[in-house]
Amino acid sequence: MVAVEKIGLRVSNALSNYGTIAILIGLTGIFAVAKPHEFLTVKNGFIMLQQIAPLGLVSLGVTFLLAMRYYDLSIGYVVSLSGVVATTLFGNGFSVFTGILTTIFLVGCLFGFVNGFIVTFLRVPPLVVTIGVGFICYGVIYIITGGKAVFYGIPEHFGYWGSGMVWFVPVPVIIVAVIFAACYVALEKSSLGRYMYAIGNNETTSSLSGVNVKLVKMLGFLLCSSFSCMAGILIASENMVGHTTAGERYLLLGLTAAFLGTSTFRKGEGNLWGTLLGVLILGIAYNGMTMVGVEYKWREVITGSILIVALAISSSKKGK
Amino acid sequence: MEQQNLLEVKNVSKYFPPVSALHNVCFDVVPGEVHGLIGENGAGKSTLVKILAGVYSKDSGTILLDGKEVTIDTPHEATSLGLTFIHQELFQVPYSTIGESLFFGRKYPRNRFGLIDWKSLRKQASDELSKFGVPKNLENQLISRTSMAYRYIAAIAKAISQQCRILFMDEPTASLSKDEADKLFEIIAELKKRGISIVYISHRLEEIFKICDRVTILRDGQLVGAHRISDINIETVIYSMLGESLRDKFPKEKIKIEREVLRVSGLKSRIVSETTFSLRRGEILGIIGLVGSGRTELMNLIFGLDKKTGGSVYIDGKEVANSSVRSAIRNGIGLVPEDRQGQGLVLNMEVKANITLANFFKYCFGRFGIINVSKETKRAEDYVDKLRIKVKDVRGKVAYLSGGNQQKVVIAKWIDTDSSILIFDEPTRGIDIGAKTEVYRLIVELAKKGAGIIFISSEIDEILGITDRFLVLYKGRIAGEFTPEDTSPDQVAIAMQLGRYGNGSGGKNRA
Repeated sequence: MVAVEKIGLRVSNALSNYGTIAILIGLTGIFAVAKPHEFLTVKNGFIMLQQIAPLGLVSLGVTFLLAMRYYDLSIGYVVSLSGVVATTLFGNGFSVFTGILTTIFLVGCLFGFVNGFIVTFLRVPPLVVTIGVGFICYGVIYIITGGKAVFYGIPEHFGYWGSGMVWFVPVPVIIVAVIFAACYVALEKSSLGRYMYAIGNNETTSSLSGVNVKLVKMLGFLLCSSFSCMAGILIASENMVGHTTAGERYLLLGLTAAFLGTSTFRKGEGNLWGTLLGVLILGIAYNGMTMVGVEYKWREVITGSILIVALAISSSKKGK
Repeated sequence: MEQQNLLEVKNVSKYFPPVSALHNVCFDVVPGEVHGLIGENGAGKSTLVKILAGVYSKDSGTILLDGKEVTIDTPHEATSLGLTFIHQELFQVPYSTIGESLFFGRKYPRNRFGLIDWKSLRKQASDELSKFGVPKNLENQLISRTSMAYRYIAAIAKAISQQCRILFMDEPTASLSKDEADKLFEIIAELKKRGISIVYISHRLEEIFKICDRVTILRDGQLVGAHRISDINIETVIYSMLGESLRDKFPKEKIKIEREVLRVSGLKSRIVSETTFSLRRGEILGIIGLVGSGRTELMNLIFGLDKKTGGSVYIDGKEVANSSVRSAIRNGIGLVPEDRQGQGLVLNMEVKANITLANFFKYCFGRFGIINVSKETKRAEDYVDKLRIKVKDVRGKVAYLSGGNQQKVVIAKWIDTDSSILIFDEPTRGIDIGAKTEVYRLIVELAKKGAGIIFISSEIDEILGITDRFLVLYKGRIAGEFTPEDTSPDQVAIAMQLGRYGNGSGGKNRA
């Protein structure tokens, strides 16, 4: 009896710590069995990774904020706006290089700064600020485009960033991998990450220990917006069009992936490996379901259910 | 002589692998007694209390109430059995009224539409509070604007209204002034008369001896003694708590006091009126005053937390602005704050990360802020050895350490910044006697190395025992300067209470 109970306790603790990993493996297993010759191939692996590259960028940005127990609800519109601005700049004679840099500066940095400044210095709750900034982005998209997609004058080689290949690896996958590595160093191995986690756990202690709390918060919002912006540029590059609604889904997806991540590794805190897991779960679920032939509407229902189950497992903890 | 036990805890054990937090502990409470529960931090008091409160589950043993075995799986069950707990932090909602706070977790009175009947709620609350001799209309006051004493009384009133039979009080006097504490003791005596038992947990042994009938002593998770208070004295209690001979409580040494490191001249803010004093290297300067005397506010001014409205601060003879905490730290000031867990530590982070938080860039490669993990770990381990912090792995979370060891982590953080001025705000509050002695020793050690120490406390014997010289603050101003050798405890108490002192102040111009 007691032994059985103990095993049960151990299983439930393991599930609560590694439930997301179990779900990742479970999903992979299901699709591998359902489509043995198509799903578990190197080619499909890279296709899947390419599909989730923009989501990866958005979630990485969100992770920085989650480490501080903050969030940003303007990311979806920042993604759309970035694609629209980049393509519009190209249409007005900007080169690929200057166009991308200008977009990151004009959209990512600017809106990140606005979010960060209002939250940090004017002490308005991030919920209000980032929703407000989201609305502004939405408006600006329509001011620029009048509601039409932008596709004139985009240089051919802009597409390389979103759909090019190096040998057999898609370029966006390489970009995200490199950025992930940089984020890993920033969050786990540098003063920035240490301070972010310190602020997220106890802002008073951090500031009494001489941490420049305001600066670190500002940087968090700046990074989050800039990453969303890069995701928007990547999407525009892949499709060679600046679409007015390209980013809307990324608000929910980006937040979900990063939130899923908080259930593993560093419990309750935004963390990179967790975010990676979250993004992979979403990527595999969509990729696999498409392959198996699940209809669009049902894909959404199933994805939602997976998320709830994952978080329910990881928050269920027996014993006290 | 044996009374029927109201509560009986038999051979209860609790393991937090790999350690055993409670081992075969027995504990009983008879009706209408005040029972002290004492032990050093980490002795198992709070584990025992949390088991009775339904927060933890016991691994073995039985709990009997009125002779019948009971199970307590949730805090709600504990309450319905008549066990009520008043925690040190009270857990009241700041923006509700005192009256409303009495009804959290109970049924609010409803009117016929099923909405809260505020009028009768206020009436009922006022009735329940009136038994405790509180001012009129207290029930309408916001919690956040009510003194700790009345908030505590509200918590007691709530417990009584829930048909409480045993009231557990955890360090109730920690945030009360002396008068307020005396008032609390009167209330306790009153409750006792009504047949309510009280389990009183405190580090202050004088209080235990003043109000308790019996006392149960725990050490390292084991029962080391249960006595009638009339059968024992403070020395034997301390002896059983520590389990070794009494060490010298105040490890005072003669330290060479060198040149001036800090001078505060006419410093003032909204709360602090013009203050002037100086501090030398190697000196331990005490600051004592009642809660609200401006001790903490004065230190906040020096540490750059609050804005000053006038005056100046000189460090090593140079005037400094200290307009922010960061500039104060750069200028060599460190603050071990009053609220260890809320302001001194990031509980959820590793021990080493807490130690290096104020001085992170020292552990980085070059100026890029990339951490040198092995250097950080090595240094943290050095501190753990040097300060005798009881922790197996510096990568463990600081939340799992006992109060005394946590305080040492905070101190290590400031030693690491090589501060020339260290401010200790109530550094021994809520930590056990053994750890207190070690904290004193650390402070003396730091003074010996040439730091100027400001030691803030509200405990007179501590101030007299550890400082070279001390200031008494009263309503935001310095009421007097004393040296411990020439001052008696009651002179200090009078200065603290009344803001003036009689004759023997002495030593004003000591070098």
